[in-house]
Amino acid sequence: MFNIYLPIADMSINFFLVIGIGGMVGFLSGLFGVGGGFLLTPLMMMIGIPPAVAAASDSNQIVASSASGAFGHYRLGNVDMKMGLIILAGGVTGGTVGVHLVHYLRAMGNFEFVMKMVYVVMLGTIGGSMFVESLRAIRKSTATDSVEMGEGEMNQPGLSRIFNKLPLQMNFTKSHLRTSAIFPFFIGFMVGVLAALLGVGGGFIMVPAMIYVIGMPTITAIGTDLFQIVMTSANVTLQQAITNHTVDIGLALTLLMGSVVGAQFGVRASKYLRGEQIRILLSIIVLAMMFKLFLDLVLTPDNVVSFAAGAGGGH
Amino acid sequence: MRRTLPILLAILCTVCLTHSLGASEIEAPSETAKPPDSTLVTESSKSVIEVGLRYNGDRIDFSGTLAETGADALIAKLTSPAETVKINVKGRVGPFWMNTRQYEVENVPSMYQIQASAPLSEITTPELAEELKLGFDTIKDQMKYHILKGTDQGNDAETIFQGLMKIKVESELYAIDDTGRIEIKDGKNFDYYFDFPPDAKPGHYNVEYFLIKDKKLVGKASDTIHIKKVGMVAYIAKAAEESPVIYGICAVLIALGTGLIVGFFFKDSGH
Repeated sequence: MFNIYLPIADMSINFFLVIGIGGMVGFLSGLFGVGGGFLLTPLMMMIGIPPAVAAASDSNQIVASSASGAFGHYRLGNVDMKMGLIILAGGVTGGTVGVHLVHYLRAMGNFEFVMKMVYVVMLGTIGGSMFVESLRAIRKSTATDSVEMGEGEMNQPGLSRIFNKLPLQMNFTKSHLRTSAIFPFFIGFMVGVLAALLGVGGGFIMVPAMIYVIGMPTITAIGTDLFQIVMTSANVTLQQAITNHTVDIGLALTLLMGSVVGAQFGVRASKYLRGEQIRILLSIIVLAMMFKLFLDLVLTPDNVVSFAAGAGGGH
Repeated sequence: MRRTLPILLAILCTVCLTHSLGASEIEAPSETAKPPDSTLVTESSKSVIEVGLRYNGDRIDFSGTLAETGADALIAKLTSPAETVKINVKGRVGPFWMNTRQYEVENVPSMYQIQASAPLSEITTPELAEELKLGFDTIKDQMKYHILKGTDQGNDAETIFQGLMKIKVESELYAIDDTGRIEIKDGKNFDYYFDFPPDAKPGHYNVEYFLIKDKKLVGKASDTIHIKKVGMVAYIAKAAEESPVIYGICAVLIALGTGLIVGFFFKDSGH
């Protein structure tokens, strides 16, 4: 058994277990265009890492795993920089608010409960709608991709028409659409809050929002999402280190070793799958995690007693 | 430009981390092991446990002689100073389990282990056990509870004690082994060991020896063990606590640098 000691989590853990989890989540990160934090945070908690340390350290490793994936997509021309910067402005604002929310919830003693509850609601909603949509797309599968549009064609999904009436209309040539900057900023803000609260990159919200609400092509949505994930997670990592002192760089670096390598294979694997195939796979993983977290909330715990955050003796 | 970006980031990470680590100086703890009583001579394989990157708990071997005390039994007790902890207690709210009460509990030792050459009930009287604070019940008697949030459900003190015991015993911080790990040879020499689990926190630990004859205390002595973080573990812990801004910037730069460098590696290797 090869163990390493985590300086901030104050615990010893099997090195290969952490590397393996990092590699698996990194692969999914590259494949789906998500940070993987929505899987990694619960997995870290399952092996005994305190929730606040798991969330903050996951944000740190997401910076690295997504930087690699974002660069891969950038090389392939899949990043809409204009859209990414607007979302990023919202993400940085939301992330800062979220870190202070974590500080408050930890003091109240119910950070873990709120965290799991938000996970269940978010993953259930996103995973469920994604699963239904993807299944429908696969059933009526035709020669043309149901989401990708032809060159020069402007996307106009149903929900995006509502935002056409909002101010701050802009052209996003890379995504072949014209829409208001208000919704991208708003969704960036929401994802920033969730990044701090859950230790996630937010891809599982951002990618569907970009595709179904804003109307971006799937591959551009994934590339742009990875760009904003890198920046938002970097902001959250810094804020968590300053406010909550919960970033365990030892844990993050160990996860990185697996995740950055896994992400590269994931990016390449994504080229062999169609948009709806990627989405249905992601939705199944999301729903499985949601179910596990829901059981944690309703089943009688082994021990009703636990150490409060910031108190002596807690592990 | 694209190729130089990761290299610049790597240099920045190194400079930043070096600065952060340079600000963290580790002070060696003063080792003030108390000399043993004249009736008992003890030795330990070491008096300092270093928590480094490869730390996964440790073991300290002890040996000694009972001299001419005539003792027929020996008890060794390992404890850390009692501390005050905050405890959350879950309750059912509708279909969900969530923390509904929070308590401050005083006099909880972080670690409590006992080794004895024979079952405690056979070598001590209840009065002597209480006087020497032997057994989990003596911890229970010392604990003081103050509710901080929520309403006491009536039996919260017992719930907290049982819950704490479960956490501590499962993490091997609390243990009572009176099945003979301490072996007295030739009526005067003994040896045994204490296992320090990975969850044992840095700090000072006290080892007390009680020499027993006919269920009476005939001698005692004590040693001190130190657990301290060393090397990278100590640097990181101190930097995170005392220089959080620099630590946070380092964490981000290292992550960015690592991600981009690996990206370049894969590109160059043709994957």
